[in-house]
Amino acid sequence: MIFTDLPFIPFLLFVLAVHWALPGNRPRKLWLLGCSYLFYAAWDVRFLSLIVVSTLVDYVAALLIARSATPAGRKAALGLSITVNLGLLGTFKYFDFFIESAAALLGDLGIPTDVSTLGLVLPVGISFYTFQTLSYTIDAYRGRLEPTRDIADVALFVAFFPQLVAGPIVRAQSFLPQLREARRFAQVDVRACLVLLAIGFFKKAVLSDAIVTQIDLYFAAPASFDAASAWLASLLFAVQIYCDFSGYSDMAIAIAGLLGYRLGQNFDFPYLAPSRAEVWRRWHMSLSSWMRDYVYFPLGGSRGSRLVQHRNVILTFVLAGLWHGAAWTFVAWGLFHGVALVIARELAERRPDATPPTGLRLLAWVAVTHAVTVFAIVFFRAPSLQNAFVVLGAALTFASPGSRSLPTVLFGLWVVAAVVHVVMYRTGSAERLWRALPGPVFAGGYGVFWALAFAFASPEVKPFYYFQF
Amino acid sequence: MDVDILVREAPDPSSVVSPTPGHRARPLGLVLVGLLAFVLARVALDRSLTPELAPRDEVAAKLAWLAADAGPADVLVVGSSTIHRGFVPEVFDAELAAGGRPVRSLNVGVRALHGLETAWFLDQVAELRPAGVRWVIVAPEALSFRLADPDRTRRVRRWHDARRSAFLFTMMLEPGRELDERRRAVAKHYEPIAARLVGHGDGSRAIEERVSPGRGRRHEGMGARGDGYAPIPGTTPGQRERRRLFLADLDGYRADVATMAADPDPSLPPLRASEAAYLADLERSIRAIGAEPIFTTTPRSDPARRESLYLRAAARAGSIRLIELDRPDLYPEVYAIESRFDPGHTNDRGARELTRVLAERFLALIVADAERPR
Repeated sequence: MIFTDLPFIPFLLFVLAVHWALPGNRPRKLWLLGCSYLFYAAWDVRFLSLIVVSTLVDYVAALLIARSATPAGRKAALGLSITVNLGLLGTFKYFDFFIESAAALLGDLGIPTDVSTLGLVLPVGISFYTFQTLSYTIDAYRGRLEPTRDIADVALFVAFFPQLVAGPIVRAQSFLPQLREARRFAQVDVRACLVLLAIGFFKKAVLSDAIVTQIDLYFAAPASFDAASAWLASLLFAVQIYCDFSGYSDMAIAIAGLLGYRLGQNFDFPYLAPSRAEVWRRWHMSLSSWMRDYVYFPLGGSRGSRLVQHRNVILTFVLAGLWHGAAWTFVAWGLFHGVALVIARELAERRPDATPPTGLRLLAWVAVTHAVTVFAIVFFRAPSLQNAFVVLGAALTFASPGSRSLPTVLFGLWVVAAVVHVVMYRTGSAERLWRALPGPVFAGGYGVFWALAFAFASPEVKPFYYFQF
Repeated sequence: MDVDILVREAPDPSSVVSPTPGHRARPLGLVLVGLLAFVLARVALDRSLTPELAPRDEVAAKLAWLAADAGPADVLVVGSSTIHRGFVPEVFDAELAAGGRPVRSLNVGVRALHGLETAWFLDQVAELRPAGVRWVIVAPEALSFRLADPDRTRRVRRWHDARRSAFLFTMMLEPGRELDERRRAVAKHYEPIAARLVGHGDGSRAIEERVSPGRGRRHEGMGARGDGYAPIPGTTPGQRERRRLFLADLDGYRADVATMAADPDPSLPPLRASEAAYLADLERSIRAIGAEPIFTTTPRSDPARRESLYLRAAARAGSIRLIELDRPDLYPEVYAIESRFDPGHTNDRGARELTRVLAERFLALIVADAERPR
């Protein structure tokens, strides 16, 4: 069951209706917890046990941290949480990758190996809820939050269905206090939630799903396409992944909002960022801030020698790449971003007095920054490093490895998407307009929007790209 | 949009005013306005987009052929792949001519025609008002909740119209069905019904049809003689796999056939109310064409054969006229290995033999009808 799929509609309406009809905070939380588990079980009921294990371990670990009188006891409890959570993640996501990579390395060195892999199915959303639940125990260890004694609160924090399988990664510090207070419907800005839900659906079901077939076609055999197609496929994949992931985040935030809960923003027009650092302040913001707080700062952050600082940046990005997927393409994607950010920092520090760009200069900076993002994203999409190098080789040398072409109409689509993106950035999603509409006009317009959105949605509902992580 | 505004800080309880009935009615009114706007827009879109939807699937193609190219016919033979691959009009017509009753028949079989899709299909045929049709021989599939996959292809969506959806609903509520069967039925049929209701993907399909007309057209045409019959080619992966499995277990097939031959009159399941209503519905559609309905079962040894025993039960109850061809004791030649592509389908040789047997039984039936005093 995914947000853009038709079975989700009655599920959501039923959840909302019962949620607001129930009296009191606790019944509502238990209701949401049950619905969240049901939502997850719709994929694979077996993996629900992993969420329950994570929840129980972190609930106990956080309480032990709070009660432990000695630093050693606190460390041991934190160690338990980290070991169990990363152990589960490592087993299900990375075990086969590391075994196969080690075997390949040994094979290259002339040492024959006979390895067997586990061949496990990757549980949906494991990377998201693992990071989320880890933040709970780490923050408890750092003394930044008081662990809750209510296990239902911890369970709902881990499994809250709007953001369970693809984020945004929520921090316990911001979510647990919301669970303590009874939600009131009067707090919900229904109109804003509905608009955000509609925007998210449009991005994912209408825009992203419409182009995914052509992109898949290209990346399955890039050597058979011309150089223009390499550019087009890369640019379009940037559109696809943004519309897919930010669309999901929009819908998740809106659904949580309709339930009375506030989730953090996850995207802020990252493709219009004028610098590498700015991109990461605007793209998948919940992961960026998680990596900053729980990886980059503990590594030393911007303390130490220039070399150590650069190492910290690159290591953080490589780990962020690995978080996405157990493949060398993701490692390369992280490395690319890390190195690009280091270079950008070095260049910026050589011109400390440079004024912020404006006008055409700003446009040029945005274009260059986006071009780097697009090159990096080729590693993100390509099924192998060789495949990625074919795409980048064709794009950068303008030499066509093959004769097939993607339809040029797609370039027009990209231009339209870019213009709409800029217009939305400038107008703030036309917020003043839809806020000013009288209620009946807004309701009528909203009904017409959904009729159009359903009609022009891709007939085949595609899973969200980030579900694989 | 700043997402922090979605949920405001909790209001001061003293400032919260208890909602009056008028306050409560307003959101409900807005919801109704939204729903009304959705329905109106949906109807407008349906009217403007539907003409763009050219026939791209086998059912639509067969209907278009029947309407435009097939020419007049006396006998239409309707069913799923067992008919599409098993009924040879030229053999049927020759047998009838030899028996002194010349007719022109057409193969109107379509692959994977679901039981309820057969009902929908016959309604469409009736709307075409084909001239001169005197008999419709129909081989309905089992009346089950099964779909090939959770499927929202245009074809599956199309037959989930209001009438068929209501029928499915009554089937689900029918006494004697297990809860799990009902749950699975809802899971299977919710998607096509909902997709049809909201017009999911209609606009995208219309655009696709304009950009690349004819893309995705996969049907095989109406056969070499233009009479609707096309022998099974055995070229698709699914067909190859079924053939492989058949050849790998010929002994099992022979044993199944021997069991069927040894028990030609098995105990029949009681006819469900839904099955009786379904058959009556098919009859009504055929009579609307102006033709006489004749039901038939096809020779198969797979589980679908067991599921079609309800047709025998209906025939025993006198509700329908049935030509039973799933009788290896009477027609061993259509069950012979040399006549089969797989347990469910005949090859070209088997199709000719099957058609000859069907013609023989059909001839006997219409002769008896003609001789019956009015």
